[in-house]
Amino acid sequence: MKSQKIWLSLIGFGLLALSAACAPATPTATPQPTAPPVGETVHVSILNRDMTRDEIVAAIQEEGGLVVANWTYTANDELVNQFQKYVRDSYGVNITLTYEGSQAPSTYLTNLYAAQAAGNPPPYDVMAIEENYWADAVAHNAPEAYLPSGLIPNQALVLDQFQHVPTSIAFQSTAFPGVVYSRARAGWMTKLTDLADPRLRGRITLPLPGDITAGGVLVSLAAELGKDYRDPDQMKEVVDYVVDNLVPNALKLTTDSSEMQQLLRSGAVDAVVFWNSLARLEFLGGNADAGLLISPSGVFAVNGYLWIPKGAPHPVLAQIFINWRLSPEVQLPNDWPIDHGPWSEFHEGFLGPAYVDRIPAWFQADYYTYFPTLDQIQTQFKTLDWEAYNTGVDEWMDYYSERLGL
Amino acid sequence: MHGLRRLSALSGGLLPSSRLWIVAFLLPAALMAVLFLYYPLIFIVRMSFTEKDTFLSPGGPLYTITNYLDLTGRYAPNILVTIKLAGLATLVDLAFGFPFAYILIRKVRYRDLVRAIMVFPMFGALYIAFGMRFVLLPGGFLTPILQLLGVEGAQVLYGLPSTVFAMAIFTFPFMVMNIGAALSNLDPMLEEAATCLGARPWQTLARVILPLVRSGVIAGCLVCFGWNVGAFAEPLLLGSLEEQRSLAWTLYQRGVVQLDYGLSATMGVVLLALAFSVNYLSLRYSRGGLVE
Repeated sequence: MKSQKIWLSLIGFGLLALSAACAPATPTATPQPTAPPVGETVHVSILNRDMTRDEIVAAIQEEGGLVVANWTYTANDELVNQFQKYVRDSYGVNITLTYEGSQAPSTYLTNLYAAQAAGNPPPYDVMAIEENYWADAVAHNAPEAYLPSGLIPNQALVLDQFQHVPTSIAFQSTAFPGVVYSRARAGWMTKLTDLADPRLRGRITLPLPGDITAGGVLVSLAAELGKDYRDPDQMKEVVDYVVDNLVPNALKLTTDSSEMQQLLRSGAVDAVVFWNSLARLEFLGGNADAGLLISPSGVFAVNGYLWIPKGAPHPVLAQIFINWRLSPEVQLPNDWPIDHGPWSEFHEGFLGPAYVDRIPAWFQADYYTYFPTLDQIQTQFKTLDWEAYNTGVDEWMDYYSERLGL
Repeated sequence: MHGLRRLSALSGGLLPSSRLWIVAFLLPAALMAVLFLYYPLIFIVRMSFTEKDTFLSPGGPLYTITNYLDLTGRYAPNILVTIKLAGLATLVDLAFGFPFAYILIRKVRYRDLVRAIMVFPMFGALYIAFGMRFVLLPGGFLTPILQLLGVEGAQVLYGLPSTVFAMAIFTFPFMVMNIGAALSNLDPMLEEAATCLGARPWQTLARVILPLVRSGVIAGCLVCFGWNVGAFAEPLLLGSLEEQRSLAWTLYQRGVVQLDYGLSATMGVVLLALAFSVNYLSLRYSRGGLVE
């Protein structure tokens, strides 16, 4: 009798679990598929073909998956699940999205150029990294010309200032390296050069030399010091200023954001030099003391751009991914089952007017404390001359390394 | 060998000769070594003679010896920092490893269990460095103790002591194993005899034990030094700017972050040469080759 009850209970639980698993998921806003209606075609420039829906589905089936190179912090399982679900729902094909995360995007270029030199196909289908790396890749003749494409109608939603047709398009509009500081302990800070203040001795972190985090900060400092970033000699003067005045205040040279957050929250440091996103991550993580310092001399945006390496093995899925990533439903993923912190990692400013009305209710009161308005994006963010930057950066960055003994 | 000859003879010549058998057994390992070790090594050496990232550029590599000149000039302090860190970590290992090995061999009953536990640090320098970081960072479980001592955790964390300590923890088992092996071969009767003849403990240590286990001590030091020369995670996670100047970490910065493949390959070649020399010497010492 007793064992009968146990069996009945187990069957009951099993049925409950089964019904829960079969229940329809919470309805979510889904980006529109990019396939044409039956009988019509879209032009896919990368393949130089007009493709019907059936041909696109067949191409997706043949490709089976794609590899995206993007920063570690955005290599979120939910993003992978959502894209795979989107392809399954839109095209009826199960694919695999592999997210190759790294916080040192230069490693992607190393791997890409190594494959290129060896005559092998590139290891990635989509590159989603900072604009300077795209400029470097252009100098190496690595990006594919893929815009405009019938598979990427969302290109129309993105402001012209965020497009490098035909090889890349931004998925961010407001990323810049800057200072995140404790309002309580260093509320007196107003500009980047305040990092040299003796009150901050052993109380700041600085980025390691080499990548765009350090480069972006040095360029902003140059603007504050009245130097021209296009001139390597003037940038060396900026480097001298940093090594002589800022480095003595540094507890640690690091580009590890979790380490910076821990140091800032615990009170071990008063300011960290990293990306602007850290300020809102801190706020959304419950640290209302974290402030973002905007240099009075302006902000140079260093946004992430999407591009496809030449010879990418999965070009159709790559374009479908890019279109999906640019859609308002993914730029501001309000319907995904994610916390506010991860949400803010997917969204880095408006790419155009089509995105503005999607600010979620939970963030409406504070959104414009951590993000600029569309008008500010269009008027106050300065654009770097990447060609000039890339021409001189090796020289002055090497000088920075030399001064630091690295 | 004898078995192989017999097998070959019994087969009435149907099986290949013993020499062929040996070649057949060795061939897969040799092929693997050539394909995946020596062939890439040749690439690294070649790359070390190229300018910046030209080795991978479509225009082809530009050859230079500047990288080697840089290494003996601009990066000479980095080599010294590397040797200093490895040397200090080795000394720490020796200071703690010798008494530990002695007690383990002479006094501990369940020494195999202790030996098994002791290999935990070898699972990864990264774990040790991360572990130390979380212990010492403000909010870590040592914070209250450090506060009582009037020390700020973050100040202890990023510097020479924490970096050397983490490196020493990682290589500690190598020191204990080498000294332990030498001590195992030392007859305890010799120590008893020295005591019976009126030698004080320190005299027994200096005149009996140390001379007889010195090959193990030297081998332990060389192995620890060889491992620590290539330390990467500890200077990265626990070092201040000074410790971050270690060669393995600088190599990463120059190669992976700044795409200066030529220079980083040169640093790799130098590290390899250093590690090879030390390893060779340690092998000779561990057999007593250079001591006798």
